[in-house]
Amino acid sequence: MAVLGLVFTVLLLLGTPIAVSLGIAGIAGILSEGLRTLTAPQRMFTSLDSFVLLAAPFYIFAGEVMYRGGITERLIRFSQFVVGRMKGGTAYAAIIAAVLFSGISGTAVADAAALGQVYIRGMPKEGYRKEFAAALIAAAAMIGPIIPPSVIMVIYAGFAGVSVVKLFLAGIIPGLLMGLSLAIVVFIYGLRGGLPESRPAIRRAEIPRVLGDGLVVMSLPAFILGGSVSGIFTPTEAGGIACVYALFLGIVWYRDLRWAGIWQALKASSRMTAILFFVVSTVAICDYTLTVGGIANYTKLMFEPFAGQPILFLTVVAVAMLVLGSFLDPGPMVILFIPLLMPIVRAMGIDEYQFSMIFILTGTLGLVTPPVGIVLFVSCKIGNIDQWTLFKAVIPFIAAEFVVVLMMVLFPAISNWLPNLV
Amino acid sequence: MDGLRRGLTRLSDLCEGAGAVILSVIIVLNAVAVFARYVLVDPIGWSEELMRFSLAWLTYLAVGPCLFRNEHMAMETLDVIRNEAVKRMLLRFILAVTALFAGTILWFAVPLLQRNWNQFTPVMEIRTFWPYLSVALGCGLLLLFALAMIALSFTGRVHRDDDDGHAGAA
Repeated sequence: MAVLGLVFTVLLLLGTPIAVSLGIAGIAGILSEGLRTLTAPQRMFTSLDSFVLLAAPFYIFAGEVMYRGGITERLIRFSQFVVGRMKGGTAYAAIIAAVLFSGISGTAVADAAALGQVYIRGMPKEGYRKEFAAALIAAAAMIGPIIPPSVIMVIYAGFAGVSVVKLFLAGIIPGLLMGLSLAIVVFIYGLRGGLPESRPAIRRAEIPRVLGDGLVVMSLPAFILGGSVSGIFTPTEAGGIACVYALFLGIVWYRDLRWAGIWQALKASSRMTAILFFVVSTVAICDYTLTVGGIANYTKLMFEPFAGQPILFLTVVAVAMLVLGSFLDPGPMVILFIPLLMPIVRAMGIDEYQFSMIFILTGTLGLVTPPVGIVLFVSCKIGNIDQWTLFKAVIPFIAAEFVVVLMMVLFPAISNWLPNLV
Repeated sequence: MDGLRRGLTRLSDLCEGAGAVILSVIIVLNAVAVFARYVLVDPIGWSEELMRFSLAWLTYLAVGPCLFRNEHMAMETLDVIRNEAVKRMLLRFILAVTALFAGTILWFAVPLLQRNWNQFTPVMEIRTFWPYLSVALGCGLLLLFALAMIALSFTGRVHRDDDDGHAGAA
């Protein structure tokens, strides 16, 4: 296990792709423990041989189609209409757009890329500081994997053995609270006089169309959740249907999507799927080595002092995941740690959806913290800002989102009330 | 080296195109399966198995092109290094490690493929060799991309720089 950890850390720090670092570490573990070598490619295949995981490329593709089919612009116009003319209005509109976009995208990177193109470039023209705009969008993109549909929740459900539908439901209230926490930060900035007044460009005659567009787009998450909760289709099938629905909106309803756009969306989605699942498959090699090496016993010993103290346990997990999230993406974190932590969570009597949401949210926050912060990286690229300047600007927003995590630790109903209704 | 670069770009396009076709097949299969179950009341038994195996093929076919596009998740260590010579050396090291990983998995996969030649999947009853082949072929492609990119690093640009939308992760 020590060999595995050392190899992984060194390769990761040198800039080797996470999937390759994990794979090499796993192979080193297999060789040092004297395990059978053919288990490595076997694990790489069996880790992907899952019907639940199929939902991930579906939601990725649906988000890509929405983005390329002009649906992002419609959501943004709808958000501007909702906010109207007020101090910091565009910042609030960006948060609303992020919440709405979360309902169709499923990944934080998609949110940051789609909204960043508009807001990180557009807000400075209204008088906002560029760092503020980029930090707001990077933090708002964290809502993407929390409000359903969510790619990371699909992976989580597959490895934790929990219901995807209930996990989707568990994310709704925390996602909305994250949006609210960001709005509070914007409000505080506004009180200090640092925000300009918005200038909405929607004429009275356009209002019915803007409203209609917003409602049509928002019907997608309602359709996914409604179909899954009522049992008409599984969450995986719902993802596939969401793709068809997104194509229908782009090609037939709005007529903004061309064949070239669909082809590009298919190619980009297959690459994004490959990036994500390549990590999933190589983590499986490490996971095998760690399991055979007896990691479960070490984990049990490590968490024994927390017996009977669920709040302390959840707080420690949240802080640990926040720190680990700076080095690992949520996908590998889920695959590495969830099989170890879930038995402890169940033994301690902690609600599994409360724990799941705390784990996913804190892991996701790592996407905006260096050194491995892909959302931070995307926002830096769009805004042409260096990583550390943006990281400093994003700290108040991340702190506000972490307050939501602490609320989830103290009040389980935030995350388990909706799943318990089903 | 221009020929190598063009060849690599074509191979990348081919793999990405195959991935796109597989993804569209999965989407259509899923829609047909739901339609068959609820409208025709005649479920398709083999669709789930085919979709699962297709997911593995989709993933491993695109792993090599993602390396060529520099899209795999990693720490941005290269970006903070100012010295071009050191940067290039580190890039070669990273590509060599990637090639080592891909080559090792390819090597380990050979006996696995041999064992799976005589086994069959439960529903479609095809040889389990075919789904497992995705891992071997994907790692073979990754090895090829990594080695070719090491060669390219001696002449100039290493990564593909045309952009049709950044692919990132969750």
